[in-house]
Amino acid sequence: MSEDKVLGNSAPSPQRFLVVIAVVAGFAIAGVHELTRPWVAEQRATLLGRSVLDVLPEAVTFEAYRLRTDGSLERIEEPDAAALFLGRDADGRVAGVAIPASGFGYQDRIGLVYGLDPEQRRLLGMRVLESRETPGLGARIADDAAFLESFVSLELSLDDAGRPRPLRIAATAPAGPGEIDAITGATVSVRAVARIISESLSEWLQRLQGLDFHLEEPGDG
Amino acid sequence: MAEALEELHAETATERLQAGLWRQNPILVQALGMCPTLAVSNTAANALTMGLATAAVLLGSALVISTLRETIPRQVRLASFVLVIATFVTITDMLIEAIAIEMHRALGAFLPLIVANCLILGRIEALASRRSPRLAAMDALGMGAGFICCLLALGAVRELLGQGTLFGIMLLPERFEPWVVMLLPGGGFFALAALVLAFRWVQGHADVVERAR
Repeated sequence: MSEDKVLGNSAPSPQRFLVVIAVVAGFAIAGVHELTRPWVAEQRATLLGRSVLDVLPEAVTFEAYRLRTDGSLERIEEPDAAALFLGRDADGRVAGVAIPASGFGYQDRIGLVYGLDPEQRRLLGMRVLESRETPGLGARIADDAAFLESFVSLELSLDDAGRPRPLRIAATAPAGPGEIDAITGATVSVRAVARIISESLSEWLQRLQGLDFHLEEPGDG
Repeated sequence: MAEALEELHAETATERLQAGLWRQNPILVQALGMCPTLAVSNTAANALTMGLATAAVLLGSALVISTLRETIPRQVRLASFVLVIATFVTITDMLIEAIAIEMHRALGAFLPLIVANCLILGRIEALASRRSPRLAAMDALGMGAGFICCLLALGAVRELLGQGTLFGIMLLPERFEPWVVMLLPGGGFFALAALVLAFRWVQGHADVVERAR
């Protein structure tokens, strides 16, 4: 009986009580969401910006573009998921293009960005933007040094028609064109990354082929 | 009656604070919250963040529920507890994303899963829903600190042996071959077993000393 006295002594009806705390909880969550939204957006933008410069080693600045349906590029201020990033080196020359891509990994969506050289022959780097892969296992696609290094200056394997072949995962040290490093314990996630980039490449290379990467610097004319 | 019950468990706030750290340590003695303990203790940084997040949720929920303990209808008390806990988990999850997005990424699915951590529900059902906010807060602080310490110890051992690093800083010489198994789920069980063994050993010695007095 003692418990009754301590808990639920002056209790309102259960239904009314649940409704009240659910409403209060809803407002609390909505409030914190509103409060943290600018920080989260800022953090995501910072992460994206840093990653774009990471995957384009020679770039010091970058601009976001959108591919119009007629195939030409249009400068945009607020990058979205379909944006392309042109990196420029200290002299203002195009140092490469960074392309965001995403697809399913072991548990959930993996979002990443990779860099392509202006001649579209080599990958320049890869960074994972978001993943919910298993910490310590699949999540190492984001920070395994040897794995990330294998994307730097990675020559693409093109077929006779100039289309990219899917990336392969090297059994030993990656040597040939289109071969990336493997990570012990992260096989599924590594395959997912290879698939995401291969699919994105086969989609983008064709669209980018007619395009002159050596665009004027904005403001020059 | 309620007063009598308080008398029976005449525990001071300090005693409650100490209980979670040693005598009733959530991991070593009560074996509560094993899922995140084994899953995210593979690196020290993951373990520390997870421990802090869990402790924050425990403290917030314990305070709210202890304050409302006479208003919560008995029939829906578990639903109410879970609702309050889930609210704190969601808020913690959003705050971590706003402050440290990369850590949020590393912990992935385990942050939302704090809702299902039986340590939190257990402490609230057993203590916070029957005691004053002050005692509940002290209990939550003690349990939270005990949880953080164990998680951090596991994370440090597993990261050091599994990767040769501590908080991402290389500590062991290059020629040390990392024990990858320590990062895998099996390594979690090994490390936990070793920690519990060490705890029982120290506790056993303390008991002998106690009895000899």
